[in-house]
Amino acid sequence: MEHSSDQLETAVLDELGIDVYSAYESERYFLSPEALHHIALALIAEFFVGLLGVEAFGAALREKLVGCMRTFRAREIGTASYSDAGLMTELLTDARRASGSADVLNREPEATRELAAALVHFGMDPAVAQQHAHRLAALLLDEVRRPPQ
Amino acid sequence: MADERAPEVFGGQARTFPGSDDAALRWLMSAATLSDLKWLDRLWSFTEATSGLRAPHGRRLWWRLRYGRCTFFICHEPGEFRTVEPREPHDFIEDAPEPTNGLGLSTLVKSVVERIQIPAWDEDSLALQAAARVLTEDPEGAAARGFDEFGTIAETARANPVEQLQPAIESLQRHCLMQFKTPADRFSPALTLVLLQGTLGQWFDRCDYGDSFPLLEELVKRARRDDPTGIKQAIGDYGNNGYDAGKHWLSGALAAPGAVPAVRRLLIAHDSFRRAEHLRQLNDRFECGAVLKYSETVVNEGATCALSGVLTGVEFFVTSPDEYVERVRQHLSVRGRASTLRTLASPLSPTHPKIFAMALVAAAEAINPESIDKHTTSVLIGLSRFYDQEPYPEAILEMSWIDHRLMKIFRQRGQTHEEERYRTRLAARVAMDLHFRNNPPR
Repeated sequence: MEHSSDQLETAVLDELGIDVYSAYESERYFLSPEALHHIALALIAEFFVGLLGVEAFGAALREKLVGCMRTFRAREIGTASYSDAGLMTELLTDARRASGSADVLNREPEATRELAAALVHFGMDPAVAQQHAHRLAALLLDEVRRPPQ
Repeated sequence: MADERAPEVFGGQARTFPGSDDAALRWLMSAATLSDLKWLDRLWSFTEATSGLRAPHGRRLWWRLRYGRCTFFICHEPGEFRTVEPREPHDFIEDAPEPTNGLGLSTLVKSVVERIQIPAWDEDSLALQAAARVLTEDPEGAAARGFDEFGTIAETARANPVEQLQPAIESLQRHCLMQFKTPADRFSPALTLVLLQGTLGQWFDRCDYGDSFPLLEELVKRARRDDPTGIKQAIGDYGNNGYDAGKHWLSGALAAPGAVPAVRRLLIAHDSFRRAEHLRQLNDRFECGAVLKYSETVVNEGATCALSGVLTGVEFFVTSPDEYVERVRQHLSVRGRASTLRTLASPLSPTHPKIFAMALVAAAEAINPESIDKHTTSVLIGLSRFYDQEPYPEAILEMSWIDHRLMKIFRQRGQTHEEERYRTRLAARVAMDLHFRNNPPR
């Protein structure tokens, strides 16, 4: 069965574990729930945009997702604009709908590479980013292919 | 005589929850041997004294704490620990109040030890002995004896071929860290020293493992000159392995069935991250050139998360179950289910195993009789069945905790038959626990 967006966010953050701190080079900073939400949303968006193409998402959502991914790669996390829980639900709804028609299996390797690249931008070592990207891709791909709850 | 004011395990209800004494003792000892107990007591009483204090409007309140030559900055809301002075315009720094005669971690350990039943397992007897050592002897003397034992095991590693280094490392973890003989913060550099000496084949003739940093620095400095390839390789391998192992054990703690295996895994995670951190520092300082796939911040945070999981977990054992569930309910009502589950059990906040966090949330959702729905009860029943399949000693506390909660829910609902069923299960667990206490397995 599908995960709720909250469950999926938790699964993504669990996969990242302490590597979620990769954005910081020396000093440690508190990661607020908003920042964690931003990180999870950006990674889910990176994968599904890579998998389904940005056109798969409605115009208003598309603009938000592009901004979310850009700020994630620039390590400007925790901005209030992406803390709305509804964005994740919208993203998942569109992704599930589009995945029915898109050639998801062929595009999966490229989407995984984009995800790994985003994690490297975020500050992760390339080998570590690669491991996370593969596991996240499996988790997210499984998500759009599950029967609805 | 037990101090009447000191908290008891589960607010004095330990007898109703088989396994709670043993688990509490092991969890508290894990916390009490993370570092020097005087410092942990200071940290504990500081937290007690300052947790209710608020910053002036619009400012962020930081407390400055000094320990030896180090200065730390701690903020409660939002929780953060820094070693560098915060300098944002809204930061407001105050010196931490001097400790009063408040409740320290050592008081909690003492209280548990004074009231505990006969331990059921050999490991518990060892934990009890360790507690006695920490509480009744000069802690520095007890640690010194622990490091003497460490040295003896390390000598065996020296006599054996390098291929047998790994079993020696595991033996050191089992005999010194897991039996609370050496403080965790001094165990990690000592283990790093054994690893590097063994790998490079360069052993010091006399080694004070209780104060390993100077020797570690000397070893790396010397190896950098005499065997630069060897030290680069060793730091790279052990650093990256420590970081991977830390993540592995942190996830393992969350996947554990109960508190006992969870806290054991948290200690190993903490040790692994700390070793990775020391190696990173040595690599940078002596420019060894090892390629490390983690940043200082990431391993520091890993160690801090494991450590804070152990420290915050103490609260569960010294609070009555009803009060603890009420706290979960309050969090739930403000932050929602997903955030509450993450606060209770996630890599950044590993206070409980994930499976038990689900039980805590389901129990919190069931507090209000009007809100008890079939789903909440079925979650607890499902978890109870899951635990029935777990081996007895590792999760006896969690099994009885869930049965106890189900018994209460069915009593509230007036479902006498179901209430009786869980009362019987609980009675059987108490009997089984008593049996094993009198007949410890060998």
